Amino acid sequence: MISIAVFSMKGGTGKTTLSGSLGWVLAEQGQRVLMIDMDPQGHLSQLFNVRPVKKGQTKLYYSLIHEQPLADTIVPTSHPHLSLIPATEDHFYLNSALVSKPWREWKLKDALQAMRPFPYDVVIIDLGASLSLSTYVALFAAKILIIPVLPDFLSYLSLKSLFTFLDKTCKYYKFSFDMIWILMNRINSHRPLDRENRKALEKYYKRFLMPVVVREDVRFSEAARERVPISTFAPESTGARDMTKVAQFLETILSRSKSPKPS
Amino acid sequence: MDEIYEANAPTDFPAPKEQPTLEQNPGAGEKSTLPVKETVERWKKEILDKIQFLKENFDQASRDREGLSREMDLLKAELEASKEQAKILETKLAETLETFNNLLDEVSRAL
Repeated sequence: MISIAVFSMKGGTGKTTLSGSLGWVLAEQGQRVLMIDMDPQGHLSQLFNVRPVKKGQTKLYYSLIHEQPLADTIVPTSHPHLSLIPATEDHFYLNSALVSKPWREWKLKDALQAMRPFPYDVVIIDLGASLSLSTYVALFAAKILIIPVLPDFLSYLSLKSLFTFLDKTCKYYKFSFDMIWILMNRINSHRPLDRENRKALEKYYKRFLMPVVVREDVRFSEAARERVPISTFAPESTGARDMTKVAQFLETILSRSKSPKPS
Repeated sequence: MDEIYEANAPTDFPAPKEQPTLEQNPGAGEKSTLPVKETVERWKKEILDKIQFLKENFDQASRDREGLSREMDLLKAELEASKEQAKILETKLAETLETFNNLLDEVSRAL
């Protein structure tokens, strides 16, 4: 099982759009994908038009706080290979509820590991832009971190803060990701500032910069409005092709990885 | 401008366990050539498709125009024939009216 967290401290970088599109593309390629919506706004759940299906179904909040099986929180989506743990309004209170819990930062990781046998190949966790306890919970459940960045200076600044945070946090908790990838999103190479920003990232974050990018494409917004993933809404679009390349890159890099151990 | 980026370059780096180096990254070498080739091929296909589409539209429009011209000729001929028919009918109507008036005169005289 591969667990991927999609996170950046800056808002509006396309975390939800990218994680949703990536999950769908991987599912289309035959991977069994579980997506976890850890953003209290629940936009990923909205994107897939998904909510807890059964009355009284366990929600992620209760699963983490009261240690109920995570499997009970999973709902299907319109793709047979793609399932989702949706966000609910309880997510707003998750941080306060977690504070008093022992080993709180590892709750999601433990809950995932408790699912035996694990019926998914990939877990993708979508986070909000805040740094809170639930962010730690989500990050510590992941082995791969994808950081979407926009080609602008504020995103560049935000990346520095995030790397400092990751460095300190990983050392403090004695935790490390298997891989960290910076994914440039909404890039338009016709704009000099975008090119300049890309060069800076290539220079200072070379080791972490994903060699594929997601170009600016209005089809992402149109697909979100229709609540359809871009690879279904406009399969020939620039955005859909770029997302396929991102998925292919991850699959290749993971197959090259020496030991894709269960997290 | 480069100084801004340099001044805000990262100082702390996390250490992922299995992070490959950039040279090992799949797709890194193809980045500069493959997407360009793909893009040009796609544009070429899109332009050829559009030309074909416009050509088909143009041929269809020409065929429609010829059909419409023939139909217009037929309608013109029908119009001319109708005009002739109208003249004949007008003459017949005048003759009928004259006969009717004559009959009325005769009835008046008889009474």
